[in-house]
Amino acid sequence: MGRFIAQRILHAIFAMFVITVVIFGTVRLSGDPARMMISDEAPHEQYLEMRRLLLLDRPIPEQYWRWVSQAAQGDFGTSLRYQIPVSELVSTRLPATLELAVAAYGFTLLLGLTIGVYSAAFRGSALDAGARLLAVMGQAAPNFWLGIMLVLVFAVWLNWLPSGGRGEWRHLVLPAITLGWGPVAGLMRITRSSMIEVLSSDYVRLARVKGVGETSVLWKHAFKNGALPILTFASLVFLGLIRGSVIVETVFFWPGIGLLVLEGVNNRDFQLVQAIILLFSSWVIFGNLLVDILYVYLNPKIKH
Amino acid sequence: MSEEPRSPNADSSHLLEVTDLHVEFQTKTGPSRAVDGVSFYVDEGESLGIVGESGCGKSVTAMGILRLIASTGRIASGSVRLDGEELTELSNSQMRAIRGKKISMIMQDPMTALNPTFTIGYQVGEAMKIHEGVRGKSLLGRVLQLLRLVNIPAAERRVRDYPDQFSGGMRQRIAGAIGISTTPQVLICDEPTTALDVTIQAQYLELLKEVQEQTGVALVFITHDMGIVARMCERVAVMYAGRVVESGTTREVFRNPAHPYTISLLRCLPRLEGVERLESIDGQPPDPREMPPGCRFAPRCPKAQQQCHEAYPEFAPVSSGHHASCFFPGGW
Repeated sequence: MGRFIAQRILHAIFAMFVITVVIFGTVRLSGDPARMMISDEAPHEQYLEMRRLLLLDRPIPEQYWRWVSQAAQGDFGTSLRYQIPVSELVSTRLPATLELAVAAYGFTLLLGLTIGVYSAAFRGSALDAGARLLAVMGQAAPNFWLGIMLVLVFAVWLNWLPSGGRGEWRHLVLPAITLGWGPVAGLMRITRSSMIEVLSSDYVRLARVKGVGETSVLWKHAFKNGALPILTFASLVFLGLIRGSVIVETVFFWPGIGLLVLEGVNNRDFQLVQAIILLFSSWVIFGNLLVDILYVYLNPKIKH
Repeated sequence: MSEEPRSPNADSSHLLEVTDLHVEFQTKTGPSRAVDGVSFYVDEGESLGIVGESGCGKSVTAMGILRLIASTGRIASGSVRLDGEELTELSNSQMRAIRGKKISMIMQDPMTALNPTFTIGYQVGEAMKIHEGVRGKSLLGRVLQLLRLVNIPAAERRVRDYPDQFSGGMRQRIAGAIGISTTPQVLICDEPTTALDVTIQAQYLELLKEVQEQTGVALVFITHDMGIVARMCERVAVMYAGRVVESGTTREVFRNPAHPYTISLLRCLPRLEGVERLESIDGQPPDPREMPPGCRFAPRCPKAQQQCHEAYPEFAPVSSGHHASCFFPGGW
């Protein structure tokens, strides 16, 4: 078990290295930040001065090393636009994104797991058929479209909820549903198929033979065995929600990281963009690492 | 149906008495009667064998007794009485209180009958926790006692292990421990030894017998193995295509089998003396959705006459306590 985890950690470190190279390279291929910083009529000397200031005149490997070693210490440079440290900027915006992601995740889990488990338990019923329809609709609708539709109905027509911004809980409802909706369908389907398989197993039958109550049969005996694929999927969903936040935050003008990175891209704020993409990537890589470890913990077959 | 066989002892009271049980499944091509008028009984301290090929309805009968038929099926009619109580009329929660307490079951395949994500200690103790409210130290004590009873070495250490850390034979014994944990009145053993090798099989059957002597549990063996019946059961009911075609004491049925199907089954058993080739029964059992109008074994029966294809033979006494559904009972 220890060896398995050590191996996974090494994989994660290697993946982080590759990611930093890719981010570093992509940002430099996408345009010259120094040009963005000065006006078009500015003399060439001023441009060179700007490049020197941003350290863009140094050899590429040196730039990379500087960036990585500073990032490792939490120093991501200064935002070109806001003129404050990127780390400070990100940490003021991060709570908003996490708040949105957690709310959306709660929505996804509640709906996806409940519908999945019960549509497996009542396979072939009207509930099951309705759930399948929901799944198709959920997977077919892109979340920016869903967001706009929700705003149209609940903010513009019904005037029940605000159309954007961050504040009290009412602001959270529509963006959370928009962000959480897509993965509901997937989670529900994974849960359903995984549970159907488990529910027909002998040990579930034996649990019933013992006189175990139906709720306990479903959520304890069956779910714990069906949980492995569900857990893996559900964790990946959470990792994906952060990524999805870029679009949803834009639609709802939610002041989180997603909105920040979009602004950063528009402004060629390369320090900022690099930092946020690195954050997203390490989020996914270390998130996956955690999923792997959790997977081992929950699966006695791997554990022993 | 007029030819429905009646239990030979319908009016006297037995520990478990199944009378004219019908179980139906919905299929795309119409209802399928997997169990079509089955009757039998078993008394305290007794062992009954229910024998037949796979698909004859014996496992469905067992699940019908426990009222655990899959959602596409239902008990269409009939009665299941346990200790005087009609199980088919109980509410779901009343039935749950009986399952695992008064009737228990040992599953066919020890490799799949135990839940891989719970320790065996938990699984052995669960029914006692549910039905007897035993908790904590005293529960652990009872679990250890059971594990020792079924010969699990180093039980104190192994209660915390998971099923995949045990061999097939040990798992089957653990499944047995679960079955007897609440000292049920009836224990249904569904092909209890098919997955075990011969020496372990014999030990396991011996263990079940010991438990029966100690607790007086009635054992119902669901099996296709006439050898197990001969070894374990006082009485036997032979099932074919959803019905009991012959029943009686094991001694009598083995000595004077009346139904050609029973005779064929017995001829499939290997014998020590002689080197005759083992027989097999030609053909397939009928599709339960398209049962032949007459005797269901007639299409495969070497003795079948015109009459056999037209009417279903009554379940009639052959000798004392020995009944069979055949117009021409006896060998050929």
